[in-house]
Amino acid sequence: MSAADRSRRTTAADEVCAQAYADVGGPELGAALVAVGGYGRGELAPYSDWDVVLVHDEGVDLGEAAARLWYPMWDAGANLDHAVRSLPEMAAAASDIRVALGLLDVRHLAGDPNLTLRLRTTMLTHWRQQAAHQLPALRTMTMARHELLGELAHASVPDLKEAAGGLRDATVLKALVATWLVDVPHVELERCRQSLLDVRDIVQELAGRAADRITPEMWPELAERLEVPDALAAQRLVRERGRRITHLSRLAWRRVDGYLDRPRAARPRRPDLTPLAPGVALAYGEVVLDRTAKPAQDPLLLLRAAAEAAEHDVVLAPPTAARLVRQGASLPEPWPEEARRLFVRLLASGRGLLHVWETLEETGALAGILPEWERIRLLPHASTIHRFTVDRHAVETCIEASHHIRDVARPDVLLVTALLHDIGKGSLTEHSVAGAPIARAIARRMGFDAPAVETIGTLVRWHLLLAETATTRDPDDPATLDVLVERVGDAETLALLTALTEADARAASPKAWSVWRSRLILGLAARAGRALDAGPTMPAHAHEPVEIPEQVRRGGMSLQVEPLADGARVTVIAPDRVGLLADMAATFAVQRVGVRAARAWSQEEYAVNVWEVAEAYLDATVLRERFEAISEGRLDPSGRLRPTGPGRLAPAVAVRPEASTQATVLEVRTDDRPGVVYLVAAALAALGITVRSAHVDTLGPQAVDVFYLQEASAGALGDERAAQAAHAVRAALSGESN
Amino acid sequence: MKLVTAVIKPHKWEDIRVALEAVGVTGMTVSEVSGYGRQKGHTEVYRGAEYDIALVPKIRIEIVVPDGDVDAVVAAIEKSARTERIGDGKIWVSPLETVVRVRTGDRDDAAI
Repeated sequence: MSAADRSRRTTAADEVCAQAYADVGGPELGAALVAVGGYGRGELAPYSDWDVVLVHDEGVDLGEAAARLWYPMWDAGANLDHAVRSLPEMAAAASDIRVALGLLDVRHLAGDPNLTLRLRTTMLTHWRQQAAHQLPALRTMTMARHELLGELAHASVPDLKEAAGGLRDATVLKALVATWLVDVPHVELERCRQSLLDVRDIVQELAGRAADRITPEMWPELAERLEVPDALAAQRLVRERGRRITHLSRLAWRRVDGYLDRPRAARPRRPDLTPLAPGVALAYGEVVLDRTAKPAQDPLLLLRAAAEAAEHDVVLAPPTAARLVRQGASLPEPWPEEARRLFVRLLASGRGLLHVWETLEETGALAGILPEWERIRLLPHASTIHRFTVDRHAVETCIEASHHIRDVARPDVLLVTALLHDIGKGSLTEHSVAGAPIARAIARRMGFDAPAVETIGTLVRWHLLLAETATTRDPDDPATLDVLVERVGDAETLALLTALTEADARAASPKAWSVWRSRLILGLAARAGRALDAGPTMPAHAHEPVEIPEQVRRGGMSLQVEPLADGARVTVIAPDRVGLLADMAATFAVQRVGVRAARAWSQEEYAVNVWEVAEAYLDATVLRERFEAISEGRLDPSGRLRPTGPGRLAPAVAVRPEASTQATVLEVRTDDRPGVVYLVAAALAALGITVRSAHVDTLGPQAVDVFYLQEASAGALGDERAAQAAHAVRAALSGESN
Repeated sequence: MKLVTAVIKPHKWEDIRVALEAVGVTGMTVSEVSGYGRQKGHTEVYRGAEYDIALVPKIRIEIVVPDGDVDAVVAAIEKSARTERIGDGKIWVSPLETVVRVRTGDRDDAAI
C-alpha cells in the first residue's frame, strides 16, 4: 500500500469520470466535473467514496448530461457521492463548514478548466475572509469529535479518520494553514498523513469495506503488511503518527485561539512579554524564555518553564523546549531540591499537565529528565478496561492525583508515584514487581530522602493491592487486613495508597471507579486505617540549639544570610515576643521573596527563625531595615498581602490535639503564594497566641505549614481557643475580614 | 423451570462461578448491586470525611434452571458462598412461567 496505489486508483476513477462526461456530451464551457474531499486530494482508499460535483455557471444548459452522467460511474462500482450545483450555489453551500473544508481540495476532472480554477479561487478567498467567523465553529466541531472518539495515539480501538490525531485532523490542519493565520511544519505533517493513509488502505483491505477503526485482531496482520517486526511495533508506528498530528493540531488551535482572542487593534508588532518566573515569560499564550534566561547556566530552566506553562494551562512553546534540550545545562544527580519542587508543581498542575508533557515528549526534553519513560511510551494496555495507552494513563493518573493533595501528608510522593506506578509495564515480569526498583532508582535520582524513596518503591510495588484485595478477599477475615497492614506498614502510606488507587482507577476508566467498586475499596481502606490505629502522624521536630550572639543578649537582633545552591538561608535570632514570626514573614513577603521552608523555635528567652528562601541574592541590611520598619509599625504589610481572590483549593486548617501534649498543633494547607506564613502568623499574633515552633514546607503547589502554639502564658490552648485560632487562620487565608 | 437468584459477597464470585460450572450451569446474569440485610451498613469516618457505608456492595446472580437441577445449583452456591460470617448473602428460588430464546424462538426447557 502506498501513495502510488492511491494515485493509481485515483487515475482510474478520473478516467471513468472524464469518459462519462465526454459520453454524455457535457459542455466544454461554463460547466465542469470536479472531485472534492479525499478524492479531490487524490487519495482514494480501496473503499472510499467518490465525491464529485457537476458545477456550472448560471444560465448554462446542461441538458440530459446532469441526469445521465452518473450511470457509468455507478456501473464502475463506485460509492458515488454526487451533486449538481451552480457556482453561486456552491458559494452558498460553503457557509456549511463541512462543505467549505471539502471544497478547499477541489480538483478538475472534466469540462471547463477555467470554471474549476474560478471555483477554487473563490472558495479559498471565501475561506480566508470568513476564517474569523468559521474557525470557532470548526473548533467546536473538532472538539466534539475528539470527545466522542478519543485519541488515535491512545484509544484502545483507534479510528484512523475521525479520532484526534487522525486523518480528519490532518485535513483540518491543512485548512487552518490555508487561512494564513497559522503555520505548521508541512513536511512533517505530510509524512504522518501519508503514513496514516497507507495504514488506512491496509485496514480497508483487511476489513473488506470502508473501515477506519483498527480492531485488536488487525494489528498482527497490519504489522506484516507494514513490514515492522510485530503487532506492538505496528501499534507504536500508528500511535506515534497520531501523537504527532495531535500535537501539531493542539499547537495550531492554541495559536488560532490566541489570534482570535486578541482584539484587532491590539495586535502589536513587538512581542508582548509577561514575566512569570526567572528567565521565563508568557508571550501570546505561550511560555517562552526571556532575555535574562541563561540556559547553559541554569539547569532548572526547563522544569521552571514547564511548571509555569502547566500551571497557567498554556503552551510551552516547542521551540523553547527544543532550545533548552540543545543548549540547556543538564540536571545534576541527585536533583537539587528546587528541581524536585518544580517537577512536583508540574505534576500537580491538573489538566494543564497534559499538553506540556506532550511537548516535553515531542521535543525530546523528557528523555533528558526521565529516560525511563521510553519503556512505556505509546505502549498499549493489555486490559480492555483502560481507555489509554500506558504513558497517557500515567499522566492522567497524575491529573487525578492532583485532586488528592489535601488528603495525604506527602503530596510530592503521591504525584511522583502516580507518574511512575506503571513504569514496570512492557516486560515479562509482573509490572508492579518490575516497576518498584525502577521507581526507587528514579526517586533517588530526583533527590528524595531515603524514607521517601522507600515509600515510593512500596507504593509502586503494591499499587494494585488495595483494589485487588477489596474485590477478591473477604474484608471480614482478619487475615485480609493482616496482609494489607503488613505490606503497607503505616497509616501515612495507607492514605497515599488509597489516593493512588482512586486516581489510578479514575484514570483507567469511569467503570473502574464505579460507586460499587469505590465502596468496596474505600470500605477496606477504612478498616485497614483503623487496624493501623491511624491517628494523623506528625513528624518529630527536633532543633539543634544555636549559639545566641552577644548583640542579641544585649537586646538587639541578628540576621544572617547564607547563600545556598539555589536560594539562600536566612537565620534570625531576637528576643522572643508575640508577632515576631509574623513580622519576619511579612518582611520576605513585601520583598516578594518566596519562602520554601522555615523552622522557628524558642531557645531560652530568644526566638530563632531559620528561613529557606528562593532568592539567592539577598542583602541582609535591606532585610533588617524592612524588618524594623514592619515591627515598629512604620510599614503596614496587611493591605498589600491580603489574598486577592480564592485559591485553586480552599485552605485546610486542622487542629491536631493528639500530636503534642505541651502545645497545640495547627496544620495549615493552602495554595503556595506569597504571604501565607505572614497571614497565619499575623492572625495568631492578633489573638495573643505564641508560636513556639513552626515548620513550613512547600510540597508541590501547596504550602504545608505546622505551627506548635502556646498561650503567651505558656501551656497548650484549650479547645475553645484552638478552635478560635483555626477559625482566625482560615478566615485570614480566605481573605475574609475577621 | 425456576429462577435461582443469589446475592453474595463480591470476593466469592469466582468460587461460585467455578462451582456452578461444575454442576453444568452454562450461563447466568451477574450484576453489581448494593444493599443491606442483617449485616447492616453503618457510617464511618475516614480521611476526615464521613463516609457512608449504609449500603454494602454485593453481587447478584440470576440463573434459569430446569426444575430437576434446582437443588444442585442451590447447593453449589450455598457451599461455595459460605464464609460463616455475617453478610454471606441469600439465595431464593422463584417459579417461572415461560422462557424464550430470542434467536431461535425456542420455548421453556429447550430455551434454557
